[in-house]
Amino acid sequence: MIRIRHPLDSSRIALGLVLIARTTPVSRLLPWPVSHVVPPLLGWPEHGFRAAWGGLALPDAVVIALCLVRTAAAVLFTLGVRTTAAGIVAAVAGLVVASQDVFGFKFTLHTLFVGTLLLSLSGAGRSIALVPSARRGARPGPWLVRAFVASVYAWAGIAKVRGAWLSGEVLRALHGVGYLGGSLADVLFASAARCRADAWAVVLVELALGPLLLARRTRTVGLVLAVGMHAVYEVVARPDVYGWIMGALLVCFLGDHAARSRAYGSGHTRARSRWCVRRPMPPSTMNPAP
Amino acid sequence: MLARTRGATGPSWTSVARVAAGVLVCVVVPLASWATDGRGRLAFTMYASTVTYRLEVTATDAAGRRRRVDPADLAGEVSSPAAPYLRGASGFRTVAQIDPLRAHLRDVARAGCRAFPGDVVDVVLRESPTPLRPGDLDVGPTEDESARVACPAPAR
Repeated sequence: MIRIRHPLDSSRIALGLVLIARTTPVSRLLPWPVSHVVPPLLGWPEHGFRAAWGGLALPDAVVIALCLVRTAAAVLFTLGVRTTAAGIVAAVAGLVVASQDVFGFKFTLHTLFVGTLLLSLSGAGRSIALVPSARRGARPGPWLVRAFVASVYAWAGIAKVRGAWLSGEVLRALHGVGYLGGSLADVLFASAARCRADAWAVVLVELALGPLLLARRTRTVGLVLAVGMHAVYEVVARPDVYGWIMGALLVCFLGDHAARSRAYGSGHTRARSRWCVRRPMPPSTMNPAP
Repeated sequence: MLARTRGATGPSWTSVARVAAGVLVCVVVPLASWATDGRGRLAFTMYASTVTYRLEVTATDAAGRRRRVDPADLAGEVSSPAAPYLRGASGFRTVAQIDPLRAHLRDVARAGCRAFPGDVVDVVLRESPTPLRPGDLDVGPTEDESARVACPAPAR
């Protein structure tokens, strides 16, 4: 199995870069027009148009301020400066701004903001950071992000367990109107029988990915399958930056975190991390004579 | 100084926050989104279904004269994420989902007030679960929803 030294923080940097790229004018450099941000920042109010979730519309000035805060926090999160707070602020601001125009809602963006939130809560920022976070609080661990990734695949699979999808009709329609295109798509969706077979394959793979990724023994198989699936999606569907987001989150599966946690959480460190109260040292021990 | 170091029991706030966040985003939110409207809007249903729809927009002035409006003409009055829902919607088209359009038809009608001040703007959404095939003109029975907004008269 491929292992990297700091999976949580490698994932943080990768996701942070996607977050910055997808929510700012940098997005216009991406090769997919669907990812381009037209206004100054993603979610910036346009033409006074309002379609807020639940009718809870915020004033334009507040939305603009949240866009700026989200961007600044995303940069700090990526660099690793006050990482937990920065990640939480970036994610919450991103979700609030997204709620102001429900037409802009995409699972891609939802996954991006929620992934950022969960990485922050998981203790990212203790390594590969400009200002590494202090070692206090609960031990860092990737289980939360891993659970989220597994749940995304599981829910995506569950949503497709229905007649219209399993008959291949949905894939055939999406191919017919150009949502799925390119030479590979033309081969994969050339007939009703192939569409049906592809539809079943997608469901089976998505439902299997969660258990395969969560079980240590099958993790490598799960990773290969997940990356392969996203590669095919990129070619036939060009689904915004969804593959990049999932790729960044899948980095959390690279590495045996249990061994690291044992090393991190030796008795002394664990005890201090609970309540983190320091006992003042006697003056005589503070600057021992050489 | 009081200190609780060794032997401290109970989870830290970060552990509690992680478990709470995990349960919320992995289970509660997706499940609730299925339960509330049966569409799973927050349950990662990406491309799991299609919908075929068209929009009919009319503006009626104070004298009762009705004008048919191409929905694409309103695309410049809404946000950039909303515009693609309007462009090309004068005829039936098949897309992955139109949940926001269905839920915010009135906001689309209100956007028409900038182009037709003082008029009454009607927006009718006709949708069919049947995918449109190339060359098809009719998609069979449709489910219709509409919204009407009386636009304020222009200030003198």
